[in-house]
Amino acid sequence: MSAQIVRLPVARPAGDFIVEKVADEVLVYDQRNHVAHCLSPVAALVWSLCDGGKVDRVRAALADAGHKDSVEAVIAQLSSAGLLRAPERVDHSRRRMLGTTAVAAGVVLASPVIFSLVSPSVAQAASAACGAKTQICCTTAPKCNITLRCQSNKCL
Amino acid sequence: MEPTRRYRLTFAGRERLLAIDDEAPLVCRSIRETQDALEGDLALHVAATCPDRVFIHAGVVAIDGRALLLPGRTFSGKSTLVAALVAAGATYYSDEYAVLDAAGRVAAYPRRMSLRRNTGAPRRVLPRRVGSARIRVCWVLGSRYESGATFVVTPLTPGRTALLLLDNAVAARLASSRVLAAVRAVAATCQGASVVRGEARRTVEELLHFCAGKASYPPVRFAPEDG
Repeated sequence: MSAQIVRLPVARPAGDFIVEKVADEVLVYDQRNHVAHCLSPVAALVWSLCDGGKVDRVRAALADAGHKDSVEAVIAQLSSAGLLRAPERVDHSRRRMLGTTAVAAGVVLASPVIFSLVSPSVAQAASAACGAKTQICCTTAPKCNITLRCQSNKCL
Repeated sequence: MEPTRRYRLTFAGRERLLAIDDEAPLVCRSIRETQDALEGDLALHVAATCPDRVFIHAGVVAIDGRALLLPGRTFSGKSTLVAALVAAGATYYSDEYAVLDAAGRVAAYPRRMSLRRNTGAPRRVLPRRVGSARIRVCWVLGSRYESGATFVVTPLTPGRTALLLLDNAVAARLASSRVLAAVRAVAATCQGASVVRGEARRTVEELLHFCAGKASYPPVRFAPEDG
């Protein structure tokens, strides 16, 4: 059983992100590390309310929207995704709390509320694994290991 | 107008050295290899820097005037699937890039289909039925090949469909805002799914069945190849 938090963490500044709503989910693109997230409706709701205020407000909002997910578990996932501001000072109780909520996330949530991926660079989007001997290399811009040559799409 | 990319071709014995900007030159052993490298790099450069279109690495065909997108990296099998779909009657749009406008419609990118063979260079073919109009995307299917696999469709939410497209967007980092808006426009109105597939011919039958709305959705498990 997990402990309950009283105050909400604070979301990172909106300027760090590009945000697009799609149906009832929210796409969040973190411009600092090029990680894209898909937030479920419940994660989006909790994230939008993370302003350092009292957590009761979020519990009520979740209940009103018919969500049964634990606020602590959702906050743990938002924290893992890097969408929340790190605590400014060492707060042992909060650290303990984050540890607890991380465990709670696995227990309370039936399914993940956030999906994330690192967006590809131009080269990554263009090609499969490339470079080592006998590996298939990209036809678009063969870049085999310097000691190898690209022949018939393979590094030889 | 200043060039945005510079190519220099030199000869060293029987080899051709293709230098792109200031990068180390690519060593090409035939004209064909040189052409492929030049064409591929030009295409990628355009895909990465085009100011008003979003390029997604994907095969694209039209079925009854609606687009089916098959996002995937190089060597993910999308060309094989596209070729098989075209052979089954679909209209060819692209085996390399889905070119999206701001409204999320897809335009044709009708380069010759690249059909890889077990040995030698890929064969290049331009199908007879090639699309021209920009059309709405109706299906986005991320597929993974498994030898002898049963055809399994698992639906994706619009948000996860957008992530699938973003994962294959050439300019995801360079023009994040524009890319996100375009993939959102597509994902909001299409049916997204991930597919585990076996051999191309059987997969095409199942895909056409799925796109015709004859398959139950979600998720679907079809019988194995031999039944």
